[in-house]
Amino acid sequence: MRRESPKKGRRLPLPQKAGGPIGTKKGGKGYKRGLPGTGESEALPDDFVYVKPDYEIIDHTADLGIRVTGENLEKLFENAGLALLDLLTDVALVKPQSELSFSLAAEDLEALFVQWLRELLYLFYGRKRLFCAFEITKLKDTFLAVTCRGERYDPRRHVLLSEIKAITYHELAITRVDSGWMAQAIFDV
Amino acid sequence: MNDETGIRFEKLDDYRWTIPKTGRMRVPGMIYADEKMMAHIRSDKSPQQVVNVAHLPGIVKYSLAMPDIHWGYGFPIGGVAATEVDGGVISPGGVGYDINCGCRLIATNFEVNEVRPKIKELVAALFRNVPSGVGSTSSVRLSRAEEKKMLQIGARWATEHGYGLPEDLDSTEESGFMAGANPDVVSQRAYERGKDQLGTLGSGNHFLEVGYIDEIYEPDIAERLGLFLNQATVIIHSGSRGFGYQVCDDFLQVMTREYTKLGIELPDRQLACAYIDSPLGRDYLGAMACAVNYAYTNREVLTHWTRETFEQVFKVGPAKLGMRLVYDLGHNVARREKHVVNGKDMEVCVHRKGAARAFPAGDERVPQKYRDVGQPVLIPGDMGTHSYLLIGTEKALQETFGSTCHGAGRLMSRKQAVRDARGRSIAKDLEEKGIIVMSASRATLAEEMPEAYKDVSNVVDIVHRAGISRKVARTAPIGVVKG
Repeated sequence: MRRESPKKGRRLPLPQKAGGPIGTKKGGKGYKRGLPGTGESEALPDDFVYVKPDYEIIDHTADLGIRVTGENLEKLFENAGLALLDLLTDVALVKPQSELSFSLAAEDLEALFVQWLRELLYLFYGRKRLFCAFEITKLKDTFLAVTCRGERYDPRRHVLLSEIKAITYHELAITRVDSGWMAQAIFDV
Repeated sequence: MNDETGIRFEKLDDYRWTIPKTGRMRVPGMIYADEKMMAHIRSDKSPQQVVNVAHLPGIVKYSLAMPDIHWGYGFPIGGVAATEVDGGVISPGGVGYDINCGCRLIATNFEVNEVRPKIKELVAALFRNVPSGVGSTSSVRLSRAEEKKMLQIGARWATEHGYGLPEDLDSTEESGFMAGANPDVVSQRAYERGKDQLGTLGSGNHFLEVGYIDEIYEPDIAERLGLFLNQATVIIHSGSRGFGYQVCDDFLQVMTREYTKLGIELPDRQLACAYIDSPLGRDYLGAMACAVNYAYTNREVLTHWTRETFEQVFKVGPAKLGMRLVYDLGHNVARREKHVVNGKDMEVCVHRKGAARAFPAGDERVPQKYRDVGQPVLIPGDMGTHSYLLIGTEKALQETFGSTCHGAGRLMSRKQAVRDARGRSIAKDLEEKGIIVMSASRATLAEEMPEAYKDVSNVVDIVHRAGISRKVARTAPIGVVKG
């Protein structure tokens, strides 16, 4: 099953990050808000339209998976993040009200990919944060830095579509394809 | 006989198939199934997972699979593996993300004909009072200190705080408490995910079901367990919620990074493990025990709200209702247990992932009150079908480290179920069969429709005929709350 973008729109350009480099802690996560002094919210452009990512759902007897592509690794990771959020919630209802920047390290690219999705899952379940846009600002095989835009989960406004327990290593793959990169991951639901 | 993946199966008897040891397998595989079920199992990738599990360092006897086996991640669901504590490994994938996911059977003094007239009202009230569904939160809020205490003492925390009854603990596996829980090795993230979910049912295959005993196979044992024909019952199926998922995830992450450094070679990264007798192995077992205790407490709190709801709806007191816990047991747990392996006593770590314990009469690990008959085993069916109460056997102890099946096992993927259910109202279909269902999500109802699962009766018949547990009674649903 392929999910097509329901409506056309443009990606919200992320504002220039103020302040110094994104905090990194080896093996840990240094969260940092993007715009110092502005707190959780900031003025929003009115024309933000969320574009549903193009991804495929992998049918798996007990679980659920995604197969995503990206013209480069950054896009691949961004699309995978959006696909995960798209399974969790109706992302069109998530407003880009605040920004969160962090970095991650892992032993290799596959582990980094799992770590990235795992982090988003934790940010939702542990910190109640939903996102609608990602910008990977740095990506190497074992390291990534990202800025995420979204808002705090509000049960009155947001819908939750499925509960994802965890991101697994099962049948995990990141491969080069003609159009760039392809990745697949299976989630435990 | 070969399947597409080239795995060779040897038929041992009508209900057992072995996979001979090849390559780096340390033990053979063994699947409990009949011919018909094997045909389905072979089309799945789960036999390959049985083979993969056989590679774990320290595994003894067999890499086992129950008839409800299906493709999981790393371990198959329905998989049982015992590893020798001395030199063997513990694998979080052999427990699963939903640590101590399990179920409990509650009996009442009511007959089904007393409940049926109010079933709609009852299901609606249960749906209101018991938090369920994706992202549901609980009214129980725990300070960190209180959460730590709960993780250490398990279900007793609930009964000491006015949730549930002290006698429930006598009918809960290991009295609702796993020893060795170490809250200091639990991550901040697990605490955060767990703090507002105690007393929530969750989503997916978790449910709360009102039903009745519609068939009794062993009248003496049923009577001994206080069960009678047409008796109204409740089944609660839930686990350790986000707390357990996070514990599993945290340790898988570390072990995935570490196991190759230990010189362990595994065919699947998802089987990542650590030596039982190592700091990492001990830390996992300490954190896992916390999640086990979280799950026992969770089911105890859910039971409390269920009892309150019955009292509200039927406007009677607890004595008249007589809601008594028959048994509570988990089916996603690893435990250090003593077993006889190849004729000698051995301490092993039994991983049961989607498999239940089934200890026989006389075993000291069976709660005192049931030691003369054996350990009750509740096998929940899927939404709208029968569930079974079984009893553990000596044969299970000899053959499967005292283990049996845990449920129906999925047949269809969730998406396929949703596709197949298109244009149908699952709730309406079930109502026509006399089953009232309420769910927070229509999609969940479609994903969990009866056709998406193997017939639990077939699964139970196999473990019964193979002798690794015995059928005692069967329940039929009349009302279900789904997540």
